[in-house]
Amino acid sequence: MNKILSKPTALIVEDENITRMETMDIFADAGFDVIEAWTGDMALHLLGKLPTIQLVFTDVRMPGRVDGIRLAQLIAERWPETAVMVCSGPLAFRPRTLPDKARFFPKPFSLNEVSSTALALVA
Amino acid sequence: MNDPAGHARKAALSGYDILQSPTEPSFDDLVALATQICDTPVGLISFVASDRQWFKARIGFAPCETPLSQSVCAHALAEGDILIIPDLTQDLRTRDNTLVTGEPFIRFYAGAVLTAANGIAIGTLCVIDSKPRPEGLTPQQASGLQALARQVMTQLELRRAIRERDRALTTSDEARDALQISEERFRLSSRATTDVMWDWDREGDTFHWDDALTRVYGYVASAVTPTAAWWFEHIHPEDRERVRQKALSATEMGPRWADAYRFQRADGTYADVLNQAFLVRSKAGRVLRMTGVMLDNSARAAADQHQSLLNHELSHRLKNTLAIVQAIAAQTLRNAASLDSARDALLQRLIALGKAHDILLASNTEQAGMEAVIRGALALHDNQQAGRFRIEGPPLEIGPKAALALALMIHELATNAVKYGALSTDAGHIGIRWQIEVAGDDPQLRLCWTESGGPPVSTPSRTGFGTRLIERGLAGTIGGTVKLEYRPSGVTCDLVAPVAGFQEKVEILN
Repeated sequence: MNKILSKPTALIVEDENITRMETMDIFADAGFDVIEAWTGDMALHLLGKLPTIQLVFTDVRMPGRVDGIRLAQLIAERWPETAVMVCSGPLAFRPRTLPDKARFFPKPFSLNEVSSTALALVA
Repeated sequence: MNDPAGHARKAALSGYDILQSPTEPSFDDLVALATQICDTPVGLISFVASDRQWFKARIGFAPCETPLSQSVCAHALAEGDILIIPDLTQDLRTRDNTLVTGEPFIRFYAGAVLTAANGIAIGTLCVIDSKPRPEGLTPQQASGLQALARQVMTQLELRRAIRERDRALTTSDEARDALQISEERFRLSSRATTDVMWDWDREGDTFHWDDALTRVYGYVASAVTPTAAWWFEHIHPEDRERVRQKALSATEMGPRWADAYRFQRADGTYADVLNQAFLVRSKAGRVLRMTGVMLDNSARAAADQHQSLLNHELSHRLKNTLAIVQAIAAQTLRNAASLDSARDALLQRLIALGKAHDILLASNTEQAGMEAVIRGALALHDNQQAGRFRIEGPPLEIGPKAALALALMIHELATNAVKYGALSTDAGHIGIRWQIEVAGDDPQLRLCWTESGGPPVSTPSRTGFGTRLIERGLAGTIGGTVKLEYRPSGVTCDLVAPVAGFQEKVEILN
């Protein structure tokens, strides 16, 4: 990937509208091309179509068959090069079910921490 | 009654419960034998009560009782053995007796005394003739009469023994009835609980469960083998060995045994049970028997689990709400012209969000009425001027996501209207109308926001967060399209979205 010619692409997966809007702005401000999805299924579809996606930032709890944890697992299997950031409220899920490489952020998250981590992951 | 002998006799008679009893063949037979042996026309079994004599059996004599004044037998009692009076008219004790002086003019009397086991004389077996009998009774007749008198007493004792046996049987019947009632009461009360009683005879390895096993766990009696092995087989495999070891080693424990484990229901599912038992031991300390109660704790465990789930859910939603607030704050600041305007805008947005939450929380179903959500969002901008808003549409319950999105959209539209549109002048007003359009399988909600009477409108030069909230408020899971137009006559906003998306509920995770 030629980082000089193109911005890195981030996929934001979040079912809550305003939160997704703001997260997309954070990533855009950090220098990403941003695309959005509001379900895990939709995210998988986009990942299959757009090999340029370098980073996925996903909520855990979303409607549909694939939640954020499952999405992170599937990405680790199918697109091991793609970085994954997972954020959620402190829902009773076991962080050990996340792939090793995936990074977890509790809600509400710190803007700076999210954007600096995102940049570090695609650097 | 100052008569100790009379008292004792009364007590003895009462013990035999003989007075006023009906005639009985065995007594009648003894009287018949007495008259035959003694060759008399009259024979009586007479019991001497305190005020009269009463005849248990009689031959040749009509009255069933006479006053004591007419009793010859009363004199016999004093003799203690047998009294023979050959001619009653000649005896000082009887010559004035009205039965002698008048009808039936009795003349000869022989009475063998009836003596109770405790030595108390209670009456006689007597024979009577209307003719004097100077020779009295032959020794054979006398001893025969006395033998019959003893038979009378034997009959009386037998009669009493039978009565006592019957009374004992009655008592045990009553005890049995009481036991049945008690068991019934227990069975009924136990039906109100999920407790199952059980009884394990360790010596014979028989294991009895009460009916509740059927009621609570669904096992028909025929499906239950009455052994401890059956019990162990129906314990969850992960708990089984531990429970078995503990139950079998109960020998070393105190008077009680208790364990908690998963017990399989007839349908294959498991109940969380608490099982407690008393141990019955031999003198040597060996456990002979365990009797216990198995309580179904599943409902409690499920309630605890549900509570815990709700706590997680609440925590999760709170964090989500905070994330939304964070996003609104960040977006407001990002697009604000000044900190002051940002502060006002943020405050108002949070109020609109809060109102929508209030409306959602007011219903238990996490649904909100469309009109209530709209009015809640407009409340902040309503200067109470009549006719400002025309709100029309069919009743429609909408889900939490749609309610929050709609509240924020309406709030932003109204905010813009106050600043630049219909609400910036007194003459302006706004129509908010919605309807459901059914075309195909997917009914659509159409909502129209129409401003009129305000100043001429022009398209703003820049789009802020407010406009994004309006135009993209439904994007994502709710779906649908929003068309915002700055017409010179007033702003219009047309929203079309699938009713299904608007009504979607948030499911509690498990």
